[in-house]
Amino acid sequence: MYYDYYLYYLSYLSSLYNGYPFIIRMTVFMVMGLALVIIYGILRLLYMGLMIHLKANRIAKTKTHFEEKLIFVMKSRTNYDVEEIQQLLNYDISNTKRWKPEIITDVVLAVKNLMLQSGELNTINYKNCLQALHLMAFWEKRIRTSGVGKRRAALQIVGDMDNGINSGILSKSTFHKNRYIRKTARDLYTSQDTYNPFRFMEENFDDEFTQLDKLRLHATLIKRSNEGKLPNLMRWVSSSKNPNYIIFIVREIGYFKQHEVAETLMEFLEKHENRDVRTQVVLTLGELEHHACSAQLIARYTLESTVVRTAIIKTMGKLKSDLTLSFLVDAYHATADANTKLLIARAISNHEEQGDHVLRTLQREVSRDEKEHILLDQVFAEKAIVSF
Amino acid sequence: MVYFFTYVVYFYATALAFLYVLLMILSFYKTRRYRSHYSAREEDYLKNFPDEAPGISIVAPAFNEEVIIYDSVNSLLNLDYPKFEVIIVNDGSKDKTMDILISEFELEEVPYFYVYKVYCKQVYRVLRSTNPTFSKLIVVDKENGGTKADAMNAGVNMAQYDYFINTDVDCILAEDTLSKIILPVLDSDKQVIAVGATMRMVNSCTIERGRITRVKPPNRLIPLFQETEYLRSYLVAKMGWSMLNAVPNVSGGFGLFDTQVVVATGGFDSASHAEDMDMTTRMVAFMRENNRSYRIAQCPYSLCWTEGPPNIRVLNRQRTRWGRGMLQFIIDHRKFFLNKDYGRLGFLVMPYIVFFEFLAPIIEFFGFLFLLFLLLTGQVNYDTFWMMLLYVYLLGLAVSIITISYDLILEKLYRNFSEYLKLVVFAAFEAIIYHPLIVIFTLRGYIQYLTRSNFKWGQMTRQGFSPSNNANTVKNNA
Repeated sequence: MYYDYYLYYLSYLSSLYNGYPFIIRMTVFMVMGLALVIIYGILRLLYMGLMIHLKANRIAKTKTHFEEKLIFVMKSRTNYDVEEIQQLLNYDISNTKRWKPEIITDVVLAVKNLMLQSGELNTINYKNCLQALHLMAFWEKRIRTSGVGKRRAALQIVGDMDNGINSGILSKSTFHKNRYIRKTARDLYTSQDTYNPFRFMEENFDDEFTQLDKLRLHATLIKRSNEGKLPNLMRWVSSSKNPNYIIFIVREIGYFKQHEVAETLMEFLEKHENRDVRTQVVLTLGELEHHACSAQLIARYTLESTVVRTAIIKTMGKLKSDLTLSFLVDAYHATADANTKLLIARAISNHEEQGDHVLRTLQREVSRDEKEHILLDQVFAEKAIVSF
Repeated sequence: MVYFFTYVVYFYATALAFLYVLLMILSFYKTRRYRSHYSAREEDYLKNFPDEAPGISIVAPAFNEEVIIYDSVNSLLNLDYPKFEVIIVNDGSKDKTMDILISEFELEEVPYFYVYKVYCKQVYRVLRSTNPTFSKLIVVDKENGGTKADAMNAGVNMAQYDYFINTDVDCILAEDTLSKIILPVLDSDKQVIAVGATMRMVNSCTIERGRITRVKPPNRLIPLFQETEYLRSYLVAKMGWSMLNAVPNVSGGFGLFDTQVVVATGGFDSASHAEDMDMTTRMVAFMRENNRSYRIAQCPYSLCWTEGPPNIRVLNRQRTRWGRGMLQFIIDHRKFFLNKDYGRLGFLVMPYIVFFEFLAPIIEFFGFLFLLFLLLTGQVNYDTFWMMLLYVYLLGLAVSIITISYDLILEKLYRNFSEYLKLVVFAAFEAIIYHPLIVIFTLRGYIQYLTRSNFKWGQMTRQGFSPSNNANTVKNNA
């Protein structure tokens, strides 16, 4: 529409500079381009403002319509079936707009989280609400059909819904070339699958395993452990070659207090050469309060690198026995490094009354050395601050 | 000669235009990716599993900050993150800064074995609160070192966590700052040595109990222009550079740094007038020299609000200092320029800083003088003159408008849409009113550096965060 009209003015402006050097004519085009960019930018800004306003209105309206009814249903001790909930919510699925399920999902999840926090969630009604509003179907379709960004968001929302998912829907995403989709899908699979949930845990989870993945998986393992006992995590360590992943699993062994694994971890310490893995194994042994490892760790202390030695000192502070205390005192005397002395003093201080007594003895011994005196004073002061 | 100089100016402006177009495209792509990768869900993991969250030390030097110290420390202590400590370095304040800290936060001197891992002036004492509410607070009382760098080093020596935030006490951080800024670190397969984030002006925002409750564009002219300038710098330039892992500078007002790498490079340089750019560059050089892969990330979200210069006098002080810092930086780090051993730093960052940051005010100033000469000698072709002028003007305006739209896409911080339009309207006058001042003040900084005059750190008029506070003039070393 009106293309000839616009073309006339464009060629008119260009024609004004006919015969001028190339640079001038190029500048004319760039000025026209920049003017268009500015007009487009301002129009786009206005459009975005309008859309933001529209979205805010839609959210407010949806919230007003659904929130109270959803709270009533999800809080109720009476179980309602899907049809009853549909009638109660007074919502015509067949006539829904494209934007609506997204906003309704946010409202449903907000109400669900609120009810979970107060311990009043009726799970059956919650799941029936999802069915009555056709939300699972909406998000499952989005997982199958949409682009990268939307698909990943859909995976996360299905995870938040915690209503289970057919692994067939996830299968394409769990091997997607985009690492964010792939890892989110694998995490969702571990969290929701009922047949073989730990399939990806046995396969290193993913080659690109970051700190954030550790956090996500940690959350998933906690969810799984709340639902039932976790399998022996050590078997995933044995089948992995990725040090990052091994460190994570060894750490989780400590977190979930799998005491039965301690002996295997001791053997693992003897065999494994990676320094960071060894450090984590030592820390986990401390976390498991595996007293039988004390003598072996003490024997290894002089042979290990600084980070592993630091881990041994911390572990000794957790094991808290006469043997560990006497080792720590010897190690304190043997080192000249102030940082190590501070660490050892903290570990001694962990030995409660006996530890405090030893620290005071050490303080008397070093009364002429002002620096060391301050160092030990600091440990006492830290204990006072931490014990508020 | 006339033609040669005309072409130099023309091609310089065009090169700058293409660079900004490229940065805008990269920034758009990176910002979109950032939004899709990190959502509130990722932040919730950190809050729900506090034991797994990495600890962060916040280091904020204070020198004669009695007007704002109480609100500022309160604001820092109330950040929403499970594991952090706040280290306030009292850099030999001569006013009541220390007294306020002691009385308001119930501080007492504690024995501390202070290790000078990086150089700083003598630390007199370390104080902690006897009130469990303020257990995250540590105050380091030290001899005045004359620069922010020296005070930062004193804080870095105290930092117990792997990452620390470098900020100023006149900055207000968003409540979710720490969980947002740490996400790129957690999600990287390479070691992230620093993360920057968008900073804005606090000048007209409403603040209650050290927390921003209403974000507004500044009412005064200079901070208003600076708001758009900051958005351009962070949302377009730095976001764009981060796509290439070539962020030239993680701001001294707010940035996350890897503690071990900072200590390994010797800490902040007290002699530097651009200690943030100097630190970023030395960290990159350290990683390159040790064959360690690294990443510098940029978070597009507005996480830090700082007080902008309220008038031309303060703007002059700020920009001359930046000008001095720029020239000093280029001279000190000239060995990196086009040096193949330093990869992107040598072939991308340094040439960009030299050609587009350092040379820009010089070319603009001489271009203006040249234009006057042409006007006086009647050598101007008015048919093309207006077209060239329009070209340069529209270029700046287009970048500003696109930047403002990026900001709106990311997060609607201003309550009213008209406040965004206010930024757009004033962006149209930036090239006429604000930019010439920046050119003059920056050149003044270059001259000061070359003549070795006026090397003191500038003064800043503190308005205070609470509405009841009267404006006080205090020295600012931050």
